[in-house]
Amino acid sequence: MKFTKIHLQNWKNFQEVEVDLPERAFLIGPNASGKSNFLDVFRFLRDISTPGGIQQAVQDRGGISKLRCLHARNPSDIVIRVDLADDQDHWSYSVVFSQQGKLPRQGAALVKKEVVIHNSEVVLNRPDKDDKDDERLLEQTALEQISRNRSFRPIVDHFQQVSYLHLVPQMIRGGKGMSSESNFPDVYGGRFLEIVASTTEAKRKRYLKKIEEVLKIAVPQLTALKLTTDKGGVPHLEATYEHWRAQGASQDESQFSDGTLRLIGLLWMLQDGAGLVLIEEPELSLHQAIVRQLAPFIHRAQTRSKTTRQAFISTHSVDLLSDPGIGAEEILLFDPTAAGTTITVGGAFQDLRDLMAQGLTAAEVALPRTHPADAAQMSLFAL
Amino acid sequence: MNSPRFVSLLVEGTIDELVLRKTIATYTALTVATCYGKKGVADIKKRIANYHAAAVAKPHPLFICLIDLDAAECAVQLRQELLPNPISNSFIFRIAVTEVESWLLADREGIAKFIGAPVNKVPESPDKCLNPKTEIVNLARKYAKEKLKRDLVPAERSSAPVGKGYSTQIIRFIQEQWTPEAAEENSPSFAKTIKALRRLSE
Repeated sequence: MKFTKIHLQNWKNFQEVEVDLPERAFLIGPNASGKSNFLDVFRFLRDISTPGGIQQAVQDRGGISKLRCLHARNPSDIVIRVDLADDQDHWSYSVVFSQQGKLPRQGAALVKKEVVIHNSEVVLNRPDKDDKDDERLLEQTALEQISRNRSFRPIVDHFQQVSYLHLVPQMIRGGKGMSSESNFPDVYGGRFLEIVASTTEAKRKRYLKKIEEVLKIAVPQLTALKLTTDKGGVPHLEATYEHWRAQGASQDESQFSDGTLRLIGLLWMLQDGAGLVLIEEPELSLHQAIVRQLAPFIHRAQTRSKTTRQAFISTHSVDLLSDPGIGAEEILLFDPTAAGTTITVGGAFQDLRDLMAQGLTAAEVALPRTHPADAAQMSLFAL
Repeated sequence: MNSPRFVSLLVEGTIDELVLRKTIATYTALTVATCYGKKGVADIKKRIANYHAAAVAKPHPLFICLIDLDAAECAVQLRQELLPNPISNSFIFRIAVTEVESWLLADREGIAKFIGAPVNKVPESPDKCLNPKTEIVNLARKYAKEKLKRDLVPAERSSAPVGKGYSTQIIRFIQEQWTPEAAEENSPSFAKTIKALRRLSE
Protein backbone atom coordinates (compact mmCIF):
# COMPACT_ATOMS: atom_id res chain seq x y z
CA MET A 1 0.00 0.00 0.00
CA LYS A 2 1.18 3.52 -0.77
CA PHE A 3 0.18 7.06 -0.04
CA THR A 4 -0.72 8.55 -3.42
CA LYS A 5 -1.94 12.01 -2.49
CA ILE A 6 -2.14 14.29 0.50
CA HIS A 7 -4.32 17.29 1.19
CA LEU A 8 -3.69 19.54 4.20
CA GLN A 9 -5.46 22.55 5.58
CA ASN A 10 -4.13 24.66 8.43
CA TRP A 11 -1.46 22.14 9.36
CA LYS A 12 1.57 23.98 10.71
CA ASN A 13 3.27 25.82 7.79
CA PHE A 14 0.56 24.88 5.33
CA GLN A 15 -2.62 26.84 4.92
CA GLU A 16 -3.79 24.62 2.10
CA VAL A 17 -1.74 22.20 0.04
CA GLU A 18 -2.49 19.20 -2.10
CA VAL A 19 0.25 17.15 -3.66
CA ASP A 20 0.71 13.82 -5.44
CA LEU A 21 3.09 11.50 -3.65
CA PRO A 22 5.60 9.38 -5.55
CA GLU A 23 7.14 6.13 -4.33
CA ARG A 24 10.29 7.99 -3.42
CA ALA A 25 10.14 11.71 -2.69
CA PHE A 26 12.94 14.16 -2.03
CA LEU A 27 11.75 17.17 -0.03
CA ILE A 28 13.75 20.29 -0.75
CA GLY A 29 13.29 23.87 0.37
CA PRO A 30 14.79 26.61 2.52
CA ASN A 31 15.24 26.20 6.25
CA ALA A 32 11.97 26.37 8.21
CA SER A 33 9.87 25.97 5.07
CA GLY A 34 8.06 23.01 6.64
CA LYS A 35 9.80 19.88 5.38
CA SER A 36 9.88 18.33 8.85
CA ASN A 37 6.34 19.47 9.56
CA PHE A 38 5.24 17.79 6.35
CA LEU A 39 6.90 14.54 7.39
CA ASP A 40 5.25 14.95 10.78
CA VAL A 41 1.78 14.57 9.22
CA PHE A 42 2.57 10.94 8.48
CA ARG A 43 3.87 10.38 11.99
CA PHE A 44 0.71 12.03 13.24
CA LEU A 45 -1.39 9.55 11.24
CA ARG A 46 0.60 6.77 12.83
CA ASP A 47 0.15 8.23 16.30
CA ILE A 48 -3.60 8.66 15.98
CA SER A 49 -3.85 5.01 14.91
CA THR A 50 -2.10 3.70 18.00
CA PRO A 51 -3.04 3.60 21.71
CA GLY A 52 -3.04 7.12 23.07
CA GLY A 53 -4.62 8.20 19.82
CA ILE A 54 -5.37 11.73 18.84
CA GLN A 55 -5.31 13.16 22.37
CA GLN A 56 -1.76 11.95 22.99
CA ALA A 57 -0.65 12.84 19.46
CA VAL A 58 -1.88 16.40 19.84
CA GLN A 59 -0.52 16.76 23.36
CA ASP A 60 2.91 15.48 22.33
CA ARG A 61 2.99 18.22 19.73
CA GLY A 62 2.16 20.95 22.22
CA GLY A 63 -1.58 21.19 21.68
CA ILE A 64 -3.84 22.29 18.84
CA SER A 65 -2.47 25.83 18.87
CA LYS A 66 0.98 24.48 17.94
CA LEU A 67 -0.42 22.37 15.13
CA ARG A 68 -2.62 24.98 13.59
CA CYS A 69 -1.19 27.00 10.75
CA LEU A 70 -0.02 30.47 11.72
CA HIS A 71 -1.61 31.74 8.54
CA ALA A 72 -4.99 30.22 9.38
CA ARG A 73 -7.97 32.39 10.13
CA ASN A 74 -8.95 31.69 13.70
CA PRO A 75 -10.63 29.58 14.81
CA SER A 76 -10.16 27.09 12.05
CA ASP A 77 -10.17 23.35 11.78
CA ILE A 78 -7.19 21.28 10.81
CA VAL A 79 -7.85 19.02 7.84
CA ILE A 80 -5.78 16.02 6.79
CA ARG A 81 -6.76 13.86 3.86
CA VAL A 82 -4.69 11.09 2.34
CA ASP A 83 -5.37 8.85 -0.61
CA LEU A 84 -3.85 5.39 -0.60
CA ALA A 85 -3.69 2.59 -3.09
CA ASP A 86 -2.33 -0.88 -3.61
CA ASP A 87 -2.70 -3.17 -6.57
CA GLN A 88 -6.43 -3.70 -6.09
CA ASP A 89 -7.82 -1.12 -3.74
CA HIS A 90 -8.14 2.61 -3.41
CA TRP A 91 -8.65 4.23 -0.06
CA SER A 92 -9.22 7.75 1.10
CA TYR A 93 -8.98 8.79 4.74
CA SER A 94 -9.80 12.25 6.00
CA VAL A 95 -10.01 13.76 9.43
CA VAL A 96 -11.09 17.26 10.45
CA PHE A 97 -10.31 18.26 14.00
CA SER A 98 -10.13 21.21 16.27
CA GLN A 99 -10.24 21.68 20.01
CA GLN A 100 -12.99 21.42 22.56
CA GLY A 101 -14.08 24.92 23.45
CA LYS A 102 -16.26 24.10 26.46
CA LEU A 103 -15.33 23.16 29.98
CA PRO A 104 -14.68 20.71 31.51
CA ARG A 105 -12.94 19.22 28.48
CA GLN A 106 -11.62 22.51 27.18
CA GLY A 107 -8.49 22.17 25.07
CA ALA A 108 -8.97 18.48 24.27
CA ALA A 109 -8.76 17.55 20.61
CA LEU A 110 -12.15 17.13 19.03
CA VAL A 111 -12.85 15.16 15.87
CA LYS A 112 -15.35 17.09 13.79
CA LYS A 113 -15.41 14.85 10.75
CA GLU A 114 -13.81 11.59 9.84
CA VAL A 115 -14.45 9.84 6.57
CA VAL A 116 -13.09 6.66 5.03
CA ILE A 117 -13.80 5.75 1.44
CA HIS A 118 -12.93 2.29 0.13
CA ASN A 119 -12.97 2.14 -3.67
CA SER A 120 -15.95 4.47 -4.11
CA GLU A 121 -17.86 3.23 -1.07
CA VAL A 122 -18.12 5.31 2.08
CA VAL A 123 -17.26 2.94 4.93
CA LEU A 124 -17.05 5.52 7.70
CA ASN A 125 -18.77 8.86 7.98
CA ARG A 126 -18.47 10.61 11.32
CA PRO A 127 -20.12 12.08 13.24
CA ASP A 128 -22.51 9.15 13.09
CA LYS A 129 -25.29 7.87 15.33
CA ASP A 130 -22.90 6.56 18.00
CA ASP A 131 -21.18 9.93 18.18
CA LYS A 132 -24.51 11.67 18.65
CA ASP A 133 -25.37 9.30 21.47
CA ASP A 134 -22.04 9.82 23.18
CA GLU A 135 -20.15 12.98 22.30
CA ARG A 136 -17.06 11.84 24.16
CA LEU A 137 -16.46 9.42 21.30
CA LEU A 138 -15.43 12.42 19.24
CA GLU A 139 -12.35 12.74 21.40
CA GLN A 140 -11.01 9.67 19.60
CA THR A 141 -10.50 8.88 15.96
CA ALA A 142 -12.08 5.74 14.60
CA LEU A 143 -8.55 4.63 13.73
CA GLU A 144 -7.72 4.16 17.39
CA GLN A 145 -10.97 2.32 18.19
CA ILE A 146 -10.56 -1.34 17.29
CA SER A 147 -14.31 -1.91 17.46
CA ARG A 148 -14.90 0.72 14.81
CA ASN A 149 -12.02 0.34 12.37
CA ARG A 150 -12.70 -3.20 11.20
CA SER A 151 -13.90 -2.21 7.74
CA PHE A 152 -10.72 -0.25 7.02
CA ARG A 153 -8.11 -2.18 9.01
CA PRO A 154 -5.64 -2.25 6.07
CA ILE A 155 -5.14 1.51 6.23
CA VAL A 156 -4.88 1.46 10.03
CA ASP A 157 -2.11 -1.10 9.64
CA HIS A 158 -0.44 1.03 7.03
CA PHE A 159 -0.52 4.13 9.22
CA GLN A 160 0.90 2.19 12.13
CA GLN A 161 3.81 1.05 10.03
CA VAL A 162 5.09 4.54 9.29
CA SER A 163 8.65 4.75 10.53
CA TYR A 164 10.74 7.80 11.15
CA LEU A 165 14.25 8.29 12.24
CA HIS A 166 16.16 11.45 12.77
CA LEU A 167 19.15 10.24 14.60
CA VAL A 168 20.98 12.64 16.86
CA PRO A 169 24.16 10.85 17.85
CA GLN A 170 24.43 12.76 21.13
CA MET A 171 21.11 11.30 22.25
CA ILE A 172 22.06 7.74 21.49
CA ARG A 173 25.29 8.05 23.34
CA GLY A 174 23.51 9.89 26.13
CA GLY A 175 26.06 8.53 28.61
CA LYS A 176 23.84 5.62 29.52
CA GLY A 177 23.48 3.98 26.19
CA MET A 178 19.83 4.82 25.92
CA SER A 179 17.56 7.65 26.62
CA SER A 180 13.83 7.97 26.92
CA GLU A 181 13.67 11.69 27.54
CA SER A 182 11.63 12.46 24.48
CA ASN A 183 7.88 12.17 24.35
CA PHE A 184 8.27 10.76 20.90
CA PRO A 185 9.77 7.33 20.91
CA ASP A 186 11.19 7.89 17.47
CA VAL A 187 12.44 11.44 17.56
CA TYR A 188 16.16 11.88 17.41
CA GLY A 189 16.70 8.16 17.83
CA GLY A 190 16.63 8.37 21.61
CA ARG A 191 15.26 4.85 21.84
CA PHE A 192 17.25 3.49 18.95
CA LEU A 193 19.26 1.00 20.99
CA GLU A 194 16.13 -0.17 22.73
CA ILE A 195 14.55 -0.87 19.36
CA VAL A 196 17.61 -2.82 18.29
CA ALA A 197 17.59 -4.79 21.53
CA SER A 198 13.89 -5.65 21.35
CA THR A 199 14.14 -7.07 17.85
CA THR A 200 14.17 -10.86 17.68
CA GLU A 201 17.65 -12.28 17.67
CA ALA A 202 17.52 -13.86 14.23
CA LYS A 203 16.26 -10.66 12.64
CA ARG A 204 18.73 -8.52 14.55
CA LYS A 205 21.66 -10.66 13.48
CA ARG A 206 20.52 -10.45 9.89
CA TYR A 207 20.14 -6.67 10.01
CA LEU A 208 23.44 -6.12 11.79
CA LYS A 209 25.20 -8.38 9.31
CA LYS A 210 23.94 -6.21 6.44
CA ILE A 211 24.86 -3.04 8.27
CA GLU A 212 28.29 -4.44 8.92
CA GLU A 213 28.79 -5.09 5.22
CA VAL A 214 27.94 -1.52 4.31
CA LEU A 215 29.87 -0.04 7.22
CA LYS A 216 32.99 -1.86 6.09
CA ILE A 217 32.86 0.23 2.95
CA ALA A 218 32.15 3.51 4.72
CA VAL A 219 34.40 2.93 7.73
CA PRO A 220 37.42 1.13 6.35
CA GLN A 221 38.86 -0.26 9.60
CA LEU A 222 35.62 -1.69 10.92
CA THR A 223 35.46 -5.45 10.92
CA ALA A 224 32.44 -6.53 13.02
CA LEU A 225 29.30 -5.11 14.60
CA LYS A 226 27.18 -6.72 17.30
CA LEU A 227 24.80 -5.96 20.12
CA THR A 228 26.01 -6.56 23.66
CA THR A 229 24.40 -6.02 27.05
CA ASP A 230 26.28 -4.57 29.99
CA LYS A 231 25.97 -5.69 33.63
CA GLY A 232 23.05 -3.35 34.17
CA GLY A 233 21.17 -4.93 31.28
CA VAL A 234 21.65 -1.87 29.08
CA PRO A 235 22.14 -2.70 25.42
CA HIS A 236 25.17 -1.43 23.53
CA LEU A 237 26.37 -1.65 20.00
CA GLU A 238 29.90 -2.91 19.77
CA ALA A 239 32.16 -2.59 16.81
CA THR A 240 35.51 -4.22 16.30
CA TYR A 241 38.13 -2.24 14.47
CA GLU A 242 41.20 -3.57 12.84
CA HIS A 243 43.99 -1.54 14.29
CA TRP A 244 47.69 -1.74 14.49
CA ARG A 245 47.12 -4.03 17.45
CA ALA A 246 47.01 -7.70 16.53
CA GLN A 247 43.77 -8.35 18.43
CA GLY A 248 41.99 -5.35 17.01
CA ALA A 249 40.07 -3.10 19.36
CA SER A 250 36.41 -2.79 20.14
CA GLN A 251 34.35 0.29 20.85
CA ASP A 252 30.79 0.83 21.93
CA GLU A 253 28.38 3.42 20.59
CA SER A 254 29.64 6.09 22.97
CA GLN A 255 32.88 6.07 21.00
CA PHE A 256 31.40 5.84 17.50
CA SER A 257 31.67 8.88 15.31
CA ASP A 258 28.51 10.84 14.51
CA GLY A 259 28.66 9.62 10.95
CA THR A 260 29.00 5.97 11.93
CA LEU A 261 26.05 6.18 14.32
CA ARG A 262 23.82 7.94 11.83
CA LEU A 263 24.68 5.45 9.12
CA ILE A 264 23.90 2.53 11.44
CA GLY A 265 20.52 4.10 12.27
CA LEU A 266 19.68 4.71 8.64
CA LEU A 267 20.67 1.21 7.57
CA TRP A 268 18.66 -0.32 10.38
CA MET A 269 15.58 1.64 9.56
CA LEU A 270 15.70 0.85 5.87
CA GLN A 271 15.67 -2.85 6.69
CA ASP A 272 13.14 -2.77 9.49
CA GLY A 273 9.45 -2.66 8.61
CA ALA A 274 7.46 -2.47 5.42
CA GLY A 275 5.55 0.81 5.62
CA LEU A 276 6.40 4.35 4.65
CA VAL A 277 9.83 5.40 5.83
CA LEU A 278 10.57 9.04 6.65
CA ILE A 279 14.18 10.14 6.57
CA GLU A 280 15.41 13.53 7.68
CA GLU A 281 18.61 14.86 6.13
CA PRO A 282 20.41 11.53 5.79
CA GLU A 283 23.47 13.40 4.54
CA LEU A 284 24.40 14.77 7.96
CA SER A 285 27.88 13.83 9.16
CA LEU A 286 28.46 11.52 6.21
CA HIS A 287 31.27 11.70 3.71
CA GLN A 288 30.41 13.04 0.28
CA ALA A 289 31.32 9.75 -1.36
CA ILE A 290 28.77 7.91 0.80
CA VAL A 291 26.09 10.59 0.37
CA ARG A 292 26.41 10.32 -3.39
CA GLN A 293 25.37 6.67 -3.14
CA LEU A 294 22.40 7.23 -0.83
CA ALA A 295 19.68 7.76 -3.44
CA PRO A 296 20.31 4.49 -5.33
CA PHE A 297 20.94 2.76 -2.02
CA ILE A 298 17.58 3.87 -0.61
CA HIS A 299 15.96 2.71 -3.83
CA ARG A 300 17.43 -0.76 -3.43
CA ALA A 301 16.29 -0.92 0.17
CA GLN A 302 12.78 0.14 -0.91
CA THR A 303 12.51 -2.58 -3.51
CA ARG A 304 14.03 -5.34 -1.37
CA SER A 305 10.73 -7.19 -0.98
CA LYS A 306 7.96 -7.90 -3.46
CA THR A 307 6.06 -4.75 -2.62
CA THR A 308 7.95 -1.52 -2.97
CA ARG A 309 8.24 0.48 0.22
CA GLN A 310 7.57 4.19 0.07
CA ALA A 311 10.24 6.64 1.26
CA PHE A 312 10.18 10.40 1.84
CA ILE A 313 13.53 12.06 2.34
CA SER A 314 14.22 15.64 3.32
CA THR A 315 17.57 16.95 2.17
CA HIS A 316 19.73 19.97 1.41
CA SER A 317 22.48 17.89 -0.11
CA VAL A 318 23.88 18.59 -3.55
CA ASP A 319 25.66 15.25 -3.45
CA LEU A 320 22.54 13.27 -2.62
CA LEU A 321 20.54 14.99 -5.34
CA SER A 322 23.29 14.59 -7.93
CA ASP A 323 22.24 11.03 -8.63
CA PRO A 324 21.12 10.83 -12.25
CA GLY A 325 18.36 8.35 -11.31
CA ILE A 326 16.33 11.00 -9.51
CA GLY A 327 13.40 12.22 -11.61
CA ALA A 328 11.67 15.60 -11.56
CA GLU A 329 8.48 13.86 -10.41
CA GLU A 330 10.28 12.67 -7.27
CA ILE A 331 11.13 16.19 -6.14
CA LEU A 332 8.80 18.07 -3.81
CA LEU A 333 9.69 21.76 -3.73
CA PHE A 334 8.75 23.66 -0.57
CA ASP A 335 8.26 27.36 -1.10
CA PRO A 336 7.46 29.53 1.89
CA THR A 337 5.14 32.39 0.95
CA ALA A 338 3.29 35.05 2.91
CA ALA A 339 0.22 32.81 2.88
CA GLY A 340 2.01 29.68 4.08
CA THR A 341 4.26 27.17 2.38
CA THR A 342 3.32 25.73 -0.98
CA ILE A 343 4.49 22.35 -2.23
CA THR A 344 5.01 21.68 -5.92
CA VAL A 345 6.13 18.48 -7.57
CA GLY A 346 9.28 19.17 -9.61
CA GLY A 347 7.67 17.56 -12.65
CA ALA A 348 5.13 20.39 -12.73
CA PHE A 349 7.85 22.82 -13.84
CA GLN A 350 8.37 22.56 -17.57
CA ASP A 351 11.84 24.15 -17.54
CA LEU A 352 12.96 21.81 -14.78
CA ARG A 353 11.80 18.82 -16.81
CA ASP A 354 13.49 20.20 -19.93
CA LEU A 355 16.80 20.66 -18.16
CA MET A 356 16.66 17.22 -16.60
CA ALA A 357 15.84 15.77 -20.00
CA GLN A 358 19.21 17.15 -21.13
CA GLY A 359 21.04 15.20 -18.45
CA LEU A 360 21.22 17.82 -15.73
CA THR A 361 20.57 16.53 -12.21
CA ALA A 362 18.04 17.46 -9.54
CA ALA A 363 20.90 19.04 -7.61
CA GLU A 364 21.70 21.30 -10.53
CA VAL A 365 18.20 22.36 -11.49
CA ALA A 366 15.89 21.85 -8.49
CA LEU A 367 18.07 23.01 -5.61
CA PRO A 368 18.68 26.47 -7.16
CA ARG A 369 14.92 27.02 -7.15
CA THR A 370 14.96 26.78 -3.37
CA HIS A 371 17.75 29.28 -2.78
CA PRO A 372 16.56 32.08 -0.54
CA ALA A 373 16.64 35.16 -2.77
CA ASP A 374 18.77 37.16 -0.41
CA ALA A 375 21.12 34.48 0.87
CA ALA A 376 24.09 36.55 -0.31
CA GLN A 377 23.05 39.24 2.14
CA MET A 378 23.90 36.91 4.99
CA SER A 379 27.56 37.64 4.65
CA LEU A 380 26.79 41.31 5.16
CA PHE A 381 25.82 40.82 8.77
CA ALA A 382 28.65 41.35 11.14
CA LEU A 383 28.31 39.13 14.18
CA MET B 1 4.46 41.85 -24.68
CA ASN B 2 3.21 43.03 -21.31
CA SER B 3 3.92 39.77 -19.53
CA PRO B 4 7.30 39.69 -17.83
CA ARG B 5 9.95 37.82 -19.74
CA PHE B 6 11.94 35.42 -17.67
CA VAL B 7 15.60 34.59 -17.90
CA SER B 8 17.60 31.92 -16.16
CA LEU B 9 21.22 32.54 -15.22
CA LEU B 10 24.15 30.18 -15.31
CA VAL B 11 27.14 31.53 -13.40
CA GLU B 12 30.29 30.53 -11.53
CA GLY B 13 29.39 31.97 -8.15
CA THR B 14 27.57 34.53 -6.06
CA ILE B 15 29.65 37.53 -7.14
CA ASP B 16 28.94 36.83 -10.83
CA GLU B 17 25.27 36.28 -10.00
CA LEU B 18 24.92 39.64 -8.27
CA VAL B 19 26.76 41.51 -11.02
CA LEU B 20 24.51 39.95 -13.62
CA ARG B 21 21.34 40.57 -11.61
CA LYS B 22 22.18 44.22 -11.10
CA THR B 23 23.07 44.66 -14.75
CA ILE B 24 19.85 43.00 -15.91
CA ALA B 25 17.81 45.15 -13.53
CA THR B 26 19.56 48.31 -14.73
CA TYR B 27 19.27 47.79 -18.48
CA THR B 28 16.35 45.45 -19.12
CA ALA B 29 12.81 44.64 -18.08
CA LEU B 30 13.67 40.95 -17.74
CA THR B 31 12.90 38.99 -14.61
CA VAL B 32 15.40 36.46 -13.30
CA ALA B 33 13.65 33.15 -12.69
CA THR B 34 16.37 30.85 -11.43
CA CYS B 35 20.12 31.07 -11.05
CA TYR B 36 21.93 27.84 -11.84
CA GLY B 37 25.51 26.73 -11.41
CA LYS B 38 27.37 28.56 -8.66
CA LYS B 39 29.75 25.66 -8.28
CA GLY B 40 32.77 27.15 -10.01
CA VAL B 41 34.01 27.41 -13.52
CA ALA B 42 34.99 23.75 -13.93
CA ASP B 43 31.41 22.70 -13.27
CA ILE B 44 30.04 25.12 -15.86
CA LYS B 45 32.51 23.96 -18.46
CA LYS B 46 31.46 20.38 -17.82
CA ARG B 47 27.72 21.03 -18.00
CA ILE B 48 27.25 24.01 -20.31
CA ALA B 49 26.45 21.82 -23.32
CA ASN B 50 23.51 20.32 -21.39
CA TYR B 51 22.09 23.73 -20.50
CA HIS B 52 22.54 24.83 -24.09
CA ALA B 53 20.76 21.72 -25.36
CA ALA B 54 17.84 22.55 -23.06
CA ALA B 55 17.74 26.09 -24.47
CA VAL B 56 17.68 24.68 -28.00
CA ALA B 57 14.86 22.28 -27.15
CA LYS B 58 12.82 24.94 -25.36
CA PRO B 59 13.61 28.59 -26.02
CA HIS B 60 11.88 29.84 -22.86
CA PRO B 61 13.04 30.96 -20.46
CA LEU B 62 16.12 32.51 -22.02
CA PHE B 63 19.49 31.53 -20.63
CA ILE B 64 22.23 33.97 -19.81
CA CYS B 65 25.56 32.39 -19.02
CA LEU B 66 28.49 34.38 -17.72
CA ILE B 67 31.96 32.99 -17.26
CA ASP B 68 35.38 34.50 -16.72
CA LEU B 69 37.98 34.39 -19.46
CA ASP B 70 40.63 33.81 -16.80
CA ALA B 71 43.83 32.47 -18.27
CA ALA B 72 42.25 31.42 -21.57
CA GLU B 73 43.91 33.10 -24.50
CA CYS B 74 40.91 34.42 -26.30
CA ALA B 75 37.19 34.66 -25.85
CA VAL B 76 36.28 33.40 -29.32
CA GLN B 77 38.34 30.28 -28.84
CA LEU B 78 36.87 29.63 -25.40
CA ARG B 79 33.37 29.89 -26.82
CA GLN B 80 34.20 27.44 -29.60
CA GLU B 81 35.56 24.96 -27.10
CA LEU B 82 32.49 25.04 -24.90
CA LEU B 83 29.53 25.45 -27.22
CA PRO B 84 28.37 24.26 -30.61
CA ASN B 85 28.28 26.64 -33.53
CA PRO B 86 25.92 28.38 -34.01
CA ILE B 87 24.86 29.12 -30.48
CA SER B 88 21.10 29.13 -29.91
CA ASN B 89 19.44 32.54 -29.94
CA SER B 90 17.90 31.72 -26.60
CA PHE B 91 21.27 31.12 -24.99
CA ILE B 92 23.22 34.29 -24.32
CA PHE B 93 26.83 33.39 -23.63
CA ARG B 94 29.04 36.15 -22.24
CA ILE B 95 32.65 36.08 -21.21
CA ALA B 96 34.00 38.59 -18.71
CA VAL B 97 37.45 39.78 -19.75
CA THR B 98 39.52 38.99 -17.76
CA GLU B 99 37.10 38.18 -14.97
CA VAL B 100 34.00 39.67 -13.45
CA GLU B 101 36.17 41.78 -11.12
CA SER B 102 37.30 43.67 -14.25
CA TRP B 103 33.72 44.94 -14.52
CA LEU B 104 33.85 46.03 -10.90
CA LEU B 105 37.15 47.87 -11.45
CA ALA B 106 35.59 49.49 -14.51
CA ASP B 107 33.48 51.61 -12.19
CA ARG B 108 36.69 53.44 -11.34
CA GLU B 109 35.18 56.10 -9.14
CA GLY B 110 33.00 53.61 -7.33
CA ILE B 111 35.77 51.19 -6.47
CA ALA B 112 38.17 54.03 -5.60
CA LYS B 113 35.66 55.45 -3.15
CA PHE B 114 34.90 52.00 -1.73
CA ILE B 115 38.55 51.25 -1.04
CA GLY B 116 39.59 54.78 -0.25
CA ALA B 117 42.13 54.99 -3.09
CA PRO B 118 42.70 57.89 -5.51
CA VAL B 119 40.76 57.34 -8.78
CA ASN B 120 43.93 57.64 -10.88
CA LYS B 121 45.35 54.56 -9.16
CA VAL B 122 42.52 52.38 -10.53
CA PRO B 123 43.52 50.90 -13.92
CA GLU B 124 42.02 52.73 -16.89
CA SER B 125 41.51 49.58 -18.93
CA PRO B 126 40.49 46.87 -16.49
CA ASP B 127 39.86 44.41 -19.34
CA LYS B 128 43.62 44.41 -19.85
CA CYS B 129 44.40 43.53 -16.25
CA LEU B 130 45.64 39.95 -16.16
CA ASN B 131 44.54 39.56 -12.59
CA PRO B 132 41.84 42.00 -11.51
CA LYS B 133 41.31 40.28 -8.14
CA THR B 134 44.94 40.95 -7.27
CA GLU B 135 44.47 44.51 -8.50
CA ILE B 136 41.66 45.02 -5.98
CA VAL B 137 43.66 43.35 -3.23
CA ASN B 138 46.72 45.50 -3.99
CA LEU B 139 44.68 48.70 -3.95
CA ALA B 140 43.26 47.67 -0.60
CA ARG B 141 46.70 46.78 0.74
CA LYS B 142 47.91 50.26 -0.08
CA TYR B 143 44.91 52.47 0.60
CA ALA B 144 42.15 50.74 2.55
CA LYS B 145 41.42 51.43 6.17
CA GLU B 146 42.42 48.77 8.66
CA LYS B 147 39.13 46.85 8.87
CA LEU B 148 38.51 46.69 5.13
CA LYS B 149 42.14 45.82 4.50
CA ARG B 150 41.91 42.93 6.96
CA ASP B 151 38.94 41.54 5.01
CA LEU B 152 40.28 42.03 1.47
CA VAL B 153 43.98 41.28 1.82
CA PRO B 154 45.18 37.73 2.56
CA ALA B 155 47.25 37.17 5.66
CA GLU B 156 50.97 37.20 5.17
CA ARG B 157 51.64 33.52 4.82
CA SER B 158 48.25 32.57 3.41
CA SER B 159 48.12 30.67 0.14
CA ALA B 160 44.73 32.21 -0.62
CA PRO B 161 44.79 34.88 -3.34
CA VAL B 162 42.35 37.10 -1.45
CA GLY B 163 41.49 37.80 2.17
CA LYS B 164 39.01 35.87 4.30
CA GLY B 165 36.35 38.55 4.08
CA TYR B 166 36.83 39.27 0.37
CA SER B 167 33.51 37.85 -0.81
CA THR B 168 31.57 39.65 1.91
CA GLN B 169 33.09 43.00 1.07
CA ILE B 170 32.77 42.61 -2.69
CA ILE B 171 29.12 41.57 -2.32
CA ARG B 172 28.56 44.70 -0.23
CA PHE B 173 30.27 46.81 -2.87
CA ILE B 174 28.17 45.37 -5.70
CA GLN B 175 24.93 45.81 -3.84
CA GLU B 176 25.54 49.23 -2.39
CA GLN B 177 27.96 51.13 -4.59
CA TRP B 178 28.82 49.55 -7.91
CA THR B 179 27.27 51.49 -10.81
CA PRO B 180 26.91 49.57 -14.08
CA GLU B 181 26.52 52.79 -16.11
CA ALA B 182 29.94 53.95 -14.96
CA ALA B 183 31.52 50.55 -15.58
CA GLU B 184 30.13 50.44 -19.12
CA GLU B 185 32.44 53.28 -20.18
CA ASN B 186 35.67 51.59 -19.18
CA SER B 187 35.15 47.94 -20.02
CA PRO B 188 34.55 46.92 -23.63
CA SER B 189 33.65 43.36 -22.57
CA PHE B 190 31.01 44.71 -20.17
CA ALA B 191 29.70 47.16 -22.80
CA LYS B 192 29.25 44.27 -25.24
CA THR B 193 27.34 42.28 -22.63
CA ILE B 194 25.03 45.24 -22.00
CA LYS B 195 24.40 45.52 -25.72
CA ALA B 196 23.47 41.85 -25.89
CA LEU B 197 21.14 42.21 -22.91
CA ARG B 198 19.48 45.29 -24.38
CA ARG B 199 18.72 43.39 -27.56
CA LEU B 200 16.81 40.84 -25.48
CA SER B 201 14.61 43.55 -24.07
CA GLU B 202 13.70 45.07 -27.40
